[in-house]
Amino acid sequence: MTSAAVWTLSRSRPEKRGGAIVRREVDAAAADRLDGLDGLDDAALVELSLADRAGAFDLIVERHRQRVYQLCYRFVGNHEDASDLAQDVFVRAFRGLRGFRGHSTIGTWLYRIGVNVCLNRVSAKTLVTEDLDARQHVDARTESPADRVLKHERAIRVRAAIAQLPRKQRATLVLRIYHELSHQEIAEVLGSSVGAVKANFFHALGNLKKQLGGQGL
Amino acid sequence: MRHLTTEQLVDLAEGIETESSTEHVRSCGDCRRRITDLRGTISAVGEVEAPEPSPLFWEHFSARVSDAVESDRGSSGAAPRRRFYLAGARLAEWLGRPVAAVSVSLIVVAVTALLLRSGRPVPAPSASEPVSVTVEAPPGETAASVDDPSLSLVADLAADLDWDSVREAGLTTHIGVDDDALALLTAGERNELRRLLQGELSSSRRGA
Repeated sequence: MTSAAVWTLSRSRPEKRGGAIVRREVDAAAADRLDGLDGLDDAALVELSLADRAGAFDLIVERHRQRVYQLCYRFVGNHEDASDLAQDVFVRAFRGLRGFRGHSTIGTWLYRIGVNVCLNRVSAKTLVTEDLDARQHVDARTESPADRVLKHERAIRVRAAIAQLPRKQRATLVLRIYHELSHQEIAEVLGSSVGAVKANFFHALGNLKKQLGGQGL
Repeated sequence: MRHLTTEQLVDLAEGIETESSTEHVRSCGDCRRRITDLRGTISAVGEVEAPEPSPLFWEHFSARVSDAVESDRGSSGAAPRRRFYLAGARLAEWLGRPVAAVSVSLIVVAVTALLLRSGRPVPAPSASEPVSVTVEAPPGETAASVDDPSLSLVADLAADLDWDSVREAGLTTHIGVDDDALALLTAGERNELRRLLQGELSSSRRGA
């Protein structure tokens, strides 16, 4: 004998009508908050954030979250910590918004906060790299499993080598190679001169070459 | 012969050429080799990709930042009483998650047991727009087999609960909660879930 149970559920709470509907409502609320802000540049958004205009800082986050997250990921090598650090960067940015004078772009300013937050963290915590296959988008059509394994192993070696670099060399290398900042911009982020940035970059590459030289670099 | 400076070497490795440095490189094998090394290292390091999180992650990330900023604003500018309230709320949220999860599980089990026992639907209190869902027991599993005496305790505990109280206590679940739970999983947990689901799919295919 097959037994059947009939469940009768209440739908009297509009916010509990289903994930999709809730999400659309949230999206609509977010869109309302951002209404009219989308065309503004970062400097105007900073002004509005300081004036407590709802949604202004959210838009700054939305514009820069990806680069800030990637920066953090380059320092810590795993999603969990990168995500926490990126959040920390934005909270600190919000706290320090009043001190942002607009001498540099907000992107550069966020990088500066990001580098400081990351360097403080990585000096206190050993680099924990995660399984790349778990996160990376791999095009299985063009990459053989053997290629994938090789690439994965090379990535681990390079990350470990970068993690061994002195702090300024590491920051310079990450900003130059992965974020394609100019030497001038890196100098602004790190508070140093262009000459010092180039020297750090040169030595970072030399140190990496030494560490990875015998491993098929 | 005076070799190129580190700045000049970096510039040349990045493709910024000046007349004097280019001329020097033509006649200096040592500097040429150093530039080749720099280019090789830049290229090898540049090949290491960083992962791109899913769009779902960004949605949650923005919400998390917004909450954190709000909480930070509250705790830094608020009166001590407000700060105490915020800390209490966070503690309650932290404690509440497992408690709510266990409670929901208990309620679901208890209600299922009661329904299977009585064989009739539970009336929906204040059901303005009722939705009926039919749950069929797996073949071979009858009401009698589910009618485990050990469920009686749960059923007795839940006997006095009504739907409104459960709802007001925030113990109900909603559609889409699985999406939210999925977004909170770590990479390892997602892999494990994928493995389990694939195992289930292949066994059901074999069964079909």
